[in-house]
Amino acid sequence: MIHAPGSPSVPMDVLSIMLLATSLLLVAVRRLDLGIWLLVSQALILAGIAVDIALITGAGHAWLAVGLTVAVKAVALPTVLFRVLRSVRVRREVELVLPTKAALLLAVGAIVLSYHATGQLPFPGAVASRHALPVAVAVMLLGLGIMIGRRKALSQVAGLIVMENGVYLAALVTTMGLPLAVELGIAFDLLIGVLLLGIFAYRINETFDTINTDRLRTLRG
Amino acid sequence: MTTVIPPDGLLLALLILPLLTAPIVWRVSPRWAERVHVLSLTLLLMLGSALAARVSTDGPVSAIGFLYVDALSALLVGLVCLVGWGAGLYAVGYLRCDVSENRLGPEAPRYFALWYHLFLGTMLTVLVVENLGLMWVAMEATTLASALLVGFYRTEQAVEAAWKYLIICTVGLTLALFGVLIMYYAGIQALGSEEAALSWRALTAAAQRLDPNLLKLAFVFIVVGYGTKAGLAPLHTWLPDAHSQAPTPVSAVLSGVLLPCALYTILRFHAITVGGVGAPFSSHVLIAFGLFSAAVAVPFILLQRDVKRLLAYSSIEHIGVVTAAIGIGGETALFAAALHLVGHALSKALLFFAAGNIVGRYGTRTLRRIRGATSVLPISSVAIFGGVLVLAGAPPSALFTSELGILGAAFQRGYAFVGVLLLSCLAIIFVGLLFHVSRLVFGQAPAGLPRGEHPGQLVLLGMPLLAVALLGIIVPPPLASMLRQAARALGLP
Repeated sequence: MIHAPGSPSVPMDVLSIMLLATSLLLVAVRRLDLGIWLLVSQALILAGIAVDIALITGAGHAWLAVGLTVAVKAVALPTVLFRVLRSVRVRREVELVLPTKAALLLAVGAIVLSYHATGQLPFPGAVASRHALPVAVAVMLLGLGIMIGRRKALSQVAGLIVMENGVYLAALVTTMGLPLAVELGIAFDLLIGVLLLGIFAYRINETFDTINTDRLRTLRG
Repeated sequence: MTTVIPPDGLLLALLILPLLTAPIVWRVSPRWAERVHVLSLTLLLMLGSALAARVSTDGPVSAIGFLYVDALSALLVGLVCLVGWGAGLYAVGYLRCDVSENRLGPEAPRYFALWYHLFLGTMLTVLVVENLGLMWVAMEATTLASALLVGFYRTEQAVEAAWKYLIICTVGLTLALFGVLIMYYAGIQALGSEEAALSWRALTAAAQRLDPNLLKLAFVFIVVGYGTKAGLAPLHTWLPDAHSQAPTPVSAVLSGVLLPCALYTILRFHAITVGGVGAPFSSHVLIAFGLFSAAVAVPFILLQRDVKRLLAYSSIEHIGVVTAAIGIGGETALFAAALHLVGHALSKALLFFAAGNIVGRYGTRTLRRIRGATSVLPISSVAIFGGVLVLAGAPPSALFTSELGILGAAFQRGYAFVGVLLLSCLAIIFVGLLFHVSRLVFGQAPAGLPRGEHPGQLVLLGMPLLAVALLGIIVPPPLASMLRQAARALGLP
C-alpha cells in the first residue's frame, strides 16, 4: 500500500542529504579504512530512514527492514571488509583515475542531473520527501562513479555497496521497501557477494602481489 | 514416473535435489562424490524432462504459491537439466585428468561439484519462480554460485576473469534491481496489492492498467541490467574472459544455458511491457541490442587467437540473434527463437567439450599453435568441425532451420533492414569460424603428442551433433508442440 502523501517528512529530508554527503565524502577519501567507516555511517542513515518510515506507516515489516539493514550493512559487511583490509595490508588508494577535484566536480554534475531527471519521473505522490528520490538516484550514480574511478579492489567493492544503498533508498521511499522475502534474499545475496569479492580481492593480492585492478589487463580481445 | 508423482511434487523435487546434493558431494569421499554427482544429475535430468513433458501435455504447473512453470520455463528447465547433465558427466573425466596432471589438488573435484550443483539449482530457481523480486535474487545467486567456478584454476588470468565477472554482473544486476523496483511501484499503483505487484502473471494480465511511462523506464533498466548477464553488447565484456578461463564444463553451462536464463528474465518483462505500451517500444529495444551484439562479435571472431574465446564470442552472436528474433516477434520468429536456443545450447556444449579435449592435449588455447588435430584426436576433431558447421548454420542443422525462420519473419514483418544486417553477420561469422577450425583440424600435427582418445567420447560428442543435425531435418512432434507453446507463452501478438 502506498502511504498517502502527507507533509514532507523533515527527518527523511535531513537523512537523505546526509546520505548524499557521505557518498560525496566516499568519492573524495583515499584512506580505505575511513571509506569502510563511511559505509557504516551510510548503513545507519538508511536504518534511520527505515525507522522514520516505520513510524509514519506503523507497518511491522518496516521494523524488520531496520533490523536487517543494521545487521547486514552496518555490522556484517564492514566486518568482512575490515578483515580483507587487514589481510591485504593496503591503507591508501594512491593512484586515482581522476584527480579528486575533477571527480568531485563530476559528482556534483551527477547530483544536478539526478534532481533534474527525477523531477520528470512519473512517480506521483509516493514520496514524503522532496530530496529522497533524487538523492537515491544520485547515490547510485556516485557509487557507479567510485567503481569506475578507483583501482583498488576494495574501493570497487565500496562503490558497489554505495550503489546498492542508492537502490535501497529508492525502494524505501517509493514503496516502503520490497516485500520481506525479497529483501531477505537481497540482503543474503549482498552478504555472499561481498564475501566472495573479499575472497577474490585476497587472491588478487596473492597472485598479483597488489590489489590494483589495473594490473588485471591480460585478458583482451 | 510422470504418472506417479503429482506435478507440483515434481517441481519441488527438481528444486530441492541440487540443493540437497551440493552439501553431500562436498562432505563424502572423492570416490563417492563422483558417484553421487552423476546419480543426482541423472535424476535431475529425469525430473526435468518429466516436468517438461507434463507441462507440454497438461499445461502450466504451479506449487506453494510462488512457483509457476509454463511452456517457456519448462523448455528452459529441460535444457538446463540436459546441458547440466552432459557437462557434469564430461566434468568427471575432465577433472580426473586435471588432478592426475597436478593442475588441481585431489580435493578440487568435490568443491567443483558443490558449486556446480548450487549453480544448477539457482538457474532452475530463476526459471520457476513467479515473483520478479525472487527471480532477481535467484539471478544474482547464479553469479555468486558460478564465480568460484569461473576462478577455479587460481591462475592470474582466472582470478582476473572471476573478478570481472562478479563486479560487472553485480553492477548490471543492481541496475536491474532498480528496474524491478520501478515495476513493483507501477504494480502497486495499479493493482493495490503487494502480492500481485511482483507476480509476472498478474502484471502481464493487468498490463494495460500500468503506467506506460513507468513501464518504459523499468524496461530500459531491465534490458541493460539483465542484458549484462545475458551477454548483450556493449555490456558483454565479462563474457569472453569468464568463458575462456572457466573449466570447460562450466564454459558449456555458462554459454548454453546461463545466457538463455538471463534472456528469459528479460522476456517476462518484455511481455508485460508489450501488454502495457504496445509492441514497438520494447521490440525495437530488443532488436537494437540483438543486432549490435551480433555485429560486435564479427571482428572478434575473425581476428580471434584463442579457441575458447572464439566460442565465447560466437555465444554473444547467437544470443544477439535470438534477442533480435524476439524483437521481430510473430509466431514464426518466436518458434524459431526457441528452436535456436535449443540448437545453440546443444552445439555449443558439444563444441566446448571437443575444444576442451583438444586444449587439454595440446596444452594451449592459442589457435596458431593447434594444427593437425585429426591425427591426434580424431573424434574430437570430427566433432569440432561438424559442430562448427551446424553452429554456423550449414544444413541440415536446427540452427539452419531457425535462422531461416528468423530471417523470413524479418522480411515478412517489415524488418528487411534487420534481416539484411543479420544475414551479413551470420555469413561473415560462418566463414570466420570455418577458417579458424579448418586450420586447427587439418595440417601437420606437432611431433611428440600422444595420439588417440577414449571411445566414450564418440557417444558424448556424437549424440549432440547428431541431435542438432536431425533437428534440422525434422523437429519431433512433442518438441515442436513444446516450442509452439513456449512461443505462445510469451503472450505476444
